[in-house]
Parts: sequence; structure tokens; C-alpha cells
Amino acid sequence: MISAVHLSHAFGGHKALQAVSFRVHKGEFAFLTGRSGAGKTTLLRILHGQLPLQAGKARIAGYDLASLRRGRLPLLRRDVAVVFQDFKILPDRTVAENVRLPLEVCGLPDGQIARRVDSVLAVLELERAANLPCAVLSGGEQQRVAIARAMVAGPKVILADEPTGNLDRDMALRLMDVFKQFHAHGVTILMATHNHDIVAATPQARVLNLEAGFLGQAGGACPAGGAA
Amino acid sequence: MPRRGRGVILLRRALARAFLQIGGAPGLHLMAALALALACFLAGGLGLFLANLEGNLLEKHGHAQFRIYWKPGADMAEVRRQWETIRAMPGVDELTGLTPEESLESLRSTMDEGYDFPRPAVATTLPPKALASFAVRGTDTSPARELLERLKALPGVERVRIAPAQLDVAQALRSLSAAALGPLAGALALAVALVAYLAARLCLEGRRAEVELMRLVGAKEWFVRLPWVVSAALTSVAGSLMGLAALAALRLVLAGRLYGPPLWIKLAPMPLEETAAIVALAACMSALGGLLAARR
Repeated sequence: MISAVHLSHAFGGHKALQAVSFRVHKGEFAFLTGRSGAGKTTLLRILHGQLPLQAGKARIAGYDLASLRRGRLPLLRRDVAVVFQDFKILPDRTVAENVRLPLEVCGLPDGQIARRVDSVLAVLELERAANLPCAVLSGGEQQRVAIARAMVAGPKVILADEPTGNLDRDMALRLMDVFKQFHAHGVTILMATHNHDIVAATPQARVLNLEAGFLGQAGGACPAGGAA
Repeated sequence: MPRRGRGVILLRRALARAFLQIGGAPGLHLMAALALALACFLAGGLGLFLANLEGNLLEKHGHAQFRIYWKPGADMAEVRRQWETIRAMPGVDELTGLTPEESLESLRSTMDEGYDFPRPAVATTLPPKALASFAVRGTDTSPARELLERLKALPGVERVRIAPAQLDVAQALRSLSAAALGPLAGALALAVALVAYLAARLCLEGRRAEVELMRLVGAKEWFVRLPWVVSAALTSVAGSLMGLAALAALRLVLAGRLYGPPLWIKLAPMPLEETAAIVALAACMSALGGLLAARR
């Protein structure tokens, strides 16, 4: 589902990633750990097509990033959703308006959008907040809105960049339960984090450790909803 | 769902977003429309001024006049036929013919009251003559030269006179207006485009996060940009119509004051085609501005 071979990336003279190679199988849950500045966000941004592939090869959800044309990038982003550390939600819009955005840009009819939004909000216990503007929500609720938005279009892969970075321990663990729930339905998840608590609380996940742009030892793989 | 059906839904949503964008920031769009109105008012005003200046100048100085003299004693029936022939010649706007008697009468009216010519004697020595007014078009002098040759070749014509300075003035006016209009129209189109681009850019700044987010969740580029193009064009059409309406009102006020003694200046309204061209140009340049403003 996700593969990288000798992936390198530099910002000017600074080498953010150096010959990183790994593979995450379909239905697998993997953590990308490492200190701040280790290259976790850079790797996720490359896999989501936000940064160009400078060296090496990468594939995700069936898309070869080296040969991906610009016009097909939106299609990749419909199959590969991202949860950002800073949520990236629109504070002046309601919860439902934020969550429906990925479905609106796909051209789904309004009726189908409403059904899917209701269903994902119910899973994330946000149905009562559906018509509230996001600005009035707590940090944990806003992050759940971001997760709902990522999940609503039924992506094959979720890339999560420090999704619990701005939350307290309890809220972080509760959100991890939500991710585990989606993982149990076969979604492949690659989550960047430096929170050891949530890594420890997810024993079924494999750990990829990035240090100064290099990928260290990887743990065992454990696909949940699909074959390795 | 069929791909075409989704395309229609997306198009409808993109257009709805254009209206939502305007509704979401009405003050900003109103200011943008006013800026465009001002640009179109100035553009239209300058165009109106130039067109009327040209019209007024050419009416007074844009014609070359040929004075045609026939031989004294020429057959007046033949001369009158030739006047009709000259009137039908291309480029001739007006022809005033004078028989020897009419020339004498004209001459007499300029003399002191009470003075009289010995009519029959003088009338026989005066030639029939005509004053042909030729409209100068473009900077090419050859039509005027050709007409001169044709007039000289008419049977019974003794001589034809033309004032070269008059022809030069008319040609200079033509070439001046032709040279000025192109660059001015270009500069004004650029000004409209810049105003539209800046207005769209300002609107976009307030919605940068949303635009970026749409791209991140898989929106195609045309879906992201179309609302900006449409809202910029709509704002521009509204602005340009406001500007041109203000200009039309101003022209009505000025036209009454200018067409009277001592000026007698006619202030013609802007032709419908030119008005439509300004609105269309402003809309196109604004749409381009919106397209550029929403680029990655």
C-alpha cells in the first residue's frame, strides 16, 4: 500500500530525508516516530504529493509518485487522506460543513453527502455539534472533526501527522481508539508521532523510527483488515 | 454515479461558490466593484472625449476642399451634369455649385450697400465654379490625389485648386487619433486587469486556508479556480456597468451645456458596441485576474 525506496529530500543544503526505504502493507497500522526535525512531516508531505519527489521512488495506494501527473494529484488525495497536527479546519464553518468538504469536491450528490456525514459524525460522537461553528469547539473536538473529514470519503490510506500533538494524554488515548476503529475496518494508517504513550497503547502497530533523516530499525508488521 | 453527472454537480457547486464568495465578503466586493467602476469610468470618459474630439475636429478640419473652375462661357447644362457626377464620386461629402450669376450675387453681397456691378458684362467673364468637400480618411493621400486628377480631367474644367495645408491638417488629425487610441486602450485594459487582479487577490487572502484545504482534500484545480474567475467577472460586470452609467449621466449633463454659444460642441453618446466592448473587456481582464490570483 505504501512503499519508499531510497527516498531522499533536501531543503537547500539541509538533508531532511536520506535514502529512506520502507514498506507498509495494506491494512497495516504503522507509527513513524522520531524527534522533532527527524523528517517525519517531510516524509508524509512527499507521500501526499505536497512536496515533489527529489530522489528515490515512492508508491502509495497504487499511485507511483515519480510518474504522477499533476492532473491526477487530486485523485491521489481522495484515496489518501491526511490528519494534520494543526487540524486545518475552517473555524467559521460548522462541523458538518467542514466534514463534507472532501465529498463536495468529488461531486457526490447532496443526499449521499448528508448520509455519509451523519454516519461519520455519529462514529466520532460529534452529531450534536454538527451545526456548531468549529471555533467554539475544544481542541479534542476539533481534532475529531479533522479525523471525520479525513475518514468521510472512505480513503484507502490515512496519513496522520502528530494528530495528538496538541491534546492531553487522556484525549490522545481516546482519539487513538478512533483510529484503531477505522483501522479495524481495513484502512491503512501511517501515523507520525513522538508520543511514546500512544505507541505503547497500540501494540499491534509497527514502528518506523526516523533519526536525522535516516530510517532506523522497524518493528513487526501486523495488518488488521487486510493481507500483508 | 456517471462521471458526467458528477461534472454537472461540480460545475453547479463551483458557480454557487462564486456567489457565496461575493456574499461572504460583500464589503470587499463592493470596494472592488467601485474600483473597477472608477477604472471603467475613466476609460470610457477618455474614449468618449477622444471620439468626440475627433468628431468635432474632423467636422471642422477633417475635410479637404477642392475649388473647381470651369472655362468662362461653359455650357451650364453640361456643368450641372458634371456637378452631379462629382457628388457621386467616392469621398465627396458635399458639393456647392455656383453659376456665374450666383457668383456675381455672392460677390455683390460682400460689397458695400448700394454698389452694383454691370451685371451682364461681368457675368459673362466669371466662370462656373464648384466647391467640393472631400472627407480625409486614414493617412493615405492617394484618394485625394486621384480625385484631383479626375476633377482636372472633366471636360470644360479649366483648373482645380486644393489647399495642401488643409489636407495635411486633416491627415495629421487622423494619424494622431489613430496613434493615441491604441496605446490608451492598452493602458486602460491593463489598469482594469490590475485592479481586478488585486481585488481578487485581496478576496483570496481572506480565504487562503479554505482554498489550500480544498486542494488538500482532492479538489481539482478547475473547481478551485472557477469560483474566483466567476466572482471576479461578476464583480467586474457590476463595476463597469456602474462606471458607464455614471459616465452616461455625466454626458447628459455636459451635452446640454456644451452645445450652445459660444462653443457649439456636440457631445455624442458612446456607441453601444463600444460600451459593450468595455464591459466585456473588463469582465475578461477581471476573470484573468481571478484566475491568476487563485493559482498555486
